[in-house]
Amino acid sequence: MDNTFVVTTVEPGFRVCSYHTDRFKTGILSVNLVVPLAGNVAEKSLLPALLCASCRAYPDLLSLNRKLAELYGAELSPSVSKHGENLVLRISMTMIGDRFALDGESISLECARLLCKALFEPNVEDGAFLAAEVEREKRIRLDRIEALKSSKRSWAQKQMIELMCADEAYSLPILGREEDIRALTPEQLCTSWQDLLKTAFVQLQVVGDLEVEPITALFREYFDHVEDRNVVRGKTVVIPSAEAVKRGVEEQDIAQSKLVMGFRCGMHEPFENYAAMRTFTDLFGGGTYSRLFMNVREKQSLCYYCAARLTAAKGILTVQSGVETENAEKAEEEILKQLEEMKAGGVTAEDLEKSHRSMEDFFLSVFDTPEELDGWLFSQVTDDEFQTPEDLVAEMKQVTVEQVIEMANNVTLDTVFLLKGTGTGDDGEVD
Amino acid sequence: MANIIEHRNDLLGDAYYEVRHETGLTVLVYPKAGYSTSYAVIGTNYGSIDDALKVKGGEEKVLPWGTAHFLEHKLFESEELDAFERFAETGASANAYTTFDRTCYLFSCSSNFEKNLEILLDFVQHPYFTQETVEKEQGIIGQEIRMYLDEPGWQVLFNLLKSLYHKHPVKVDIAGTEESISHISADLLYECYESFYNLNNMVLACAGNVTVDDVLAICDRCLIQTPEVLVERPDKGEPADIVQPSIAQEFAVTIPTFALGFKETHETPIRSMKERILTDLLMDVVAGETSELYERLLREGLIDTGFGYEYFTGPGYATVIFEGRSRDPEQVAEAIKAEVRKLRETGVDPVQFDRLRKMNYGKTVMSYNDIDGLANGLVGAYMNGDELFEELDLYREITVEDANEQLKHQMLEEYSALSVVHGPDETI
Repeated sequence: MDNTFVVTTVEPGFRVCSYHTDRFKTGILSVNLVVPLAGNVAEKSLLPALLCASCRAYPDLLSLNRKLAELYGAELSPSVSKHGENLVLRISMTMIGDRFALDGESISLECARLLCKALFEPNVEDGAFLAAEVEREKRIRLDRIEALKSSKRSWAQKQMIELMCADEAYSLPILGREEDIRALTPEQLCTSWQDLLKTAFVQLQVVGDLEVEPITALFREYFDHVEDRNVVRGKTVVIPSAEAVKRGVEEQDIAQSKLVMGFRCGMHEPFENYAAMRTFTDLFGGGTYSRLFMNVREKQSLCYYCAARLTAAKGILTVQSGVETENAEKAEEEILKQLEEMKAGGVTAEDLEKSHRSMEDFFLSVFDTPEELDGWLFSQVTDDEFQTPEDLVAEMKQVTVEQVIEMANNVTLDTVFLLKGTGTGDDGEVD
Repeated sequence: MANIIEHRNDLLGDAYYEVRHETGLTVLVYPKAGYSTSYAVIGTNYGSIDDALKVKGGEEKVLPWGTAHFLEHKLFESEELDAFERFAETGASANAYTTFDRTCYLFSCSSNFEKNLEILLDFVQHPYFTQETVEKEQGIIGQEIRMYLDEPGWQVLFNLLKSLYHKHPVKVDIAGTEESISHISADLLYECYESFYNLNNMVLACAGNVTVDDVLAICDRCLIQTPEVLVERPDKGEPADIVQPSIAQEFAVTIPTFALGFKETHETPIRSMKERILTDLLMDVVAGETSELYERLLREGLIDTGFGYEYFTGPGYATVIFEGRSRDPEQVAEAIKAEVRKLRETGVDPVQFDRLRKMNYGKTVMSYNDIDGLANGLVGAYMNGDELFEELDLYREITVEDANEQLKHQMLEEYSALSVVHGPDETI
C-alpha cells in the first residue's frame, strides 16, 4: 500500500514498520534492537559501531567503505539511544532509489543483504571479535565521550539528568561508562552480540521506494537461524512528582553559563496524557509564542536560548538556557515565575490556538522527508500501540485550556544544574 | 505575462521554474508532487563579508562588522505585531539566517501558504527600526556572540581564517564583535536596508506543495515597485600570501580540535560548480572514508569519526579545510600534506576516481528530497550564477584528467595554516 504506514508483527518480538512511497529519491532501511537499559551498558552500546566497521564479506573498514561508495554512496550508520529505560541499538542504511542506478542494478536489495551481513555475519573468530578492531572502536568511543565534555550544552544536560535520576536506570550513560569501555574484551563483546540477537525486541523499518516483502523475508530467515530466541522487554519506572529540589554546580572557564532545570510531569507511566503534556510544553517553552521565548528571552533578554523539552518516555521535562553567570539566579526565578503563572490559569484560548496550528504544521511535515518518516517510526519503537501523525494531531486539537492548566499543575521542579562560567571569554589566550 | 523559464531534469523527474518579476525580484519555484508542506525563502545578496556599502556610481562607505546579521534580527519587528507573532497566527514555523554572503528569511508550513507568503513579503519590505530597539538588540546579540566564544569548533575556524586572510572580512564572526555592533544605529540600518534590500538584489525561492501561478499571483499583489538600486561588492584587495602558518588557543577542551586550511587565490571572485565538485572529489581522494590515509589515521588513533573536510568558498575567498579532533594535530596535518604531495606525483587512481564519482552522484541524488535544502540550494545557486541541476550532469562528465589538472593549483603547502584549540594541560 502506498503512502500509508503499515505495521506488522511478523512474530512475537519482531515487528516490521513500513511506509512505501515513490516521492523520494532516497530509501531508508533500519534494524532497531531494543533491550532493557541496565547493567553493563558499554558491552551492548559498542556493538552497532563494531558491527558497522566490517563483516566477514568485507573484512576491514576500507573494503566496506569502498563497497558503500560503489553502492552510490549508501550510508551504513550505527547509533544508540535511550527510550525511557530501554536501550535502542540501531543500524540503518540510506540509499538511492533503484530507479536512479546508472546500470539498472537493484541497490535496495543489495543494501538489505549488506545490512544483514553486518548484523548477523560479523568478523568473529573463535568466539571473539578481532582484537585490533575492538581496540579501535573502544578508543573512538572514549574519544567521543571526551568530545561530549567540550560540547557545553549537551554536557550540562547530561550532568543534570545524572543528578536528577541518580537512583534510576535512566541515568546510565548510553555510550557506556568509561571504565567499562576500557575493560571490554573481544570475547565479552561476542557474547553480548549473541545475547542481543537472542533477547532483543526487533523493529525493522522500511521507508521509501523499497520492496518490503523480500526485505522482511531476508531478515526473517536470518532470525530463524538464531537459536533460543527469547525476547526480554524492559519497563520504565516513571516518578510522578519531585520532593526536595536537588542542586548541582560545576565551574568551567567558559564565557556563558548553562542553566538546566529538570521537572517531573505527574505521569505514572510513559506517555500518559501525552497530547496535553506536549501542548503544555509547547506553550511553556516551545514555539516563538511560548512564555519562555516571549518573556525570558525576548522581553527580559535574560538568555540567548531558553527552551523546554518533554521526554515523555520517562515522564520528565527539561528547560535549557544559556545565561550570563550573574543572571543565572534571575533566569531561574523568571522561568519558575512563568510556570507559576500558567498554573494559576495564565493560558489563553488564543495561545492554545497558536500551539494547535504550530503542532499541526510540525507533525504533518513528517511526511515530506524519508528521515522524518523513519524518525516517526523510530520514536514509537518501544510502544505497543502505533499512532500516526494525523492521530496525534487530532488528539492534540482536542486539548483544552483547562487541560493545559491541569498539566502545568502536575509539573514539579526536581533538579537545577548550573554549568557556571568563570571565564570572560573575550581575552582567551591566542598565541 | 511574465516569461517563465523551465529547468527540467529527466533523470530526477523534477523541474523548477524561474521568473524575473517586473519589480526586479527573481522568483524560483520548485513544485514537489505528493508533498504536504511548502517552504519559502527570500534572500538578499548581503552577508557578513559586506563590510562596505557601495551603490553603483557612488562612494564606498565602511560598515561595522555584524551589520547584516543585526539587520536580520531587527527586520522581524514592526510597529504593530512582529513577524514571529504574525506567523504564530497561521501556524507556520519561521526563521532567518545570515551567512558570509547572504541574508535569508524563511518559513515552512503545511497550510495557509498564501497567507504566509504574504506575511514574508510584507515584513521584508517594511523595516521598522528605532534607536531604543536597536540598543536592546545589542544586548541580545552580544550574548549570542559570547555563546559562540564557548564553541571550540567555531573558535578554531575563525582562528584559522585570521591566519589565512589579511583583509578579507570572512575572518570575522558573522555576528561581528561586541565592540563593532555598538556602532550600529537605526539610521545606519535604514541606509543598508534601502540599498541591499532592493528587490533587484534579491531572490525568492519556493518549494514543495506550491504552484508557479499561486506564487506569482501573490508576488503581483504584495511586491512594491521601487527604483532600481544596484549594489557592488568591491574587491577586498586580499593578497595571495597567508598571515601565519599556525595558531593555537587554550580552551576548556580535553582533546585538541584542529582545522588545517589551504588558501587559494583566483582571478574571479566565485568558484564554478565544476571547480567545487572537483574539489569535493579531490578531498575525498586525499582523506575520505574510502582513502587509505583515513583508515590509517583512524587505526593509529590520530583522528576520530568526527574528522571531516569542506571547500570553504564564497565571494573572494576559497580555502580547502580539513578539521577534526586529534591528540596530535601536527602529525595529522603533516600526513595530509604528505598525501597531497604523493598524489601530485602519482596522479589520482582512475578506479578510485570512478568509485568516488559514483558515490557523489548518489549523494547528490539523495539531496533532492528536502524542500528546505532545495529552496535554499536554489537561492545559493542563483547567487553564484549556477543552474541547480547542472551538478548531476557534471558528475557524469568530469574526468580524472580534470581532477589532476585542478590539483596542480590546490592544497599548496606554502598557503596552508594549522589552527589548534587545546586544553589547559597541554603544551603545543
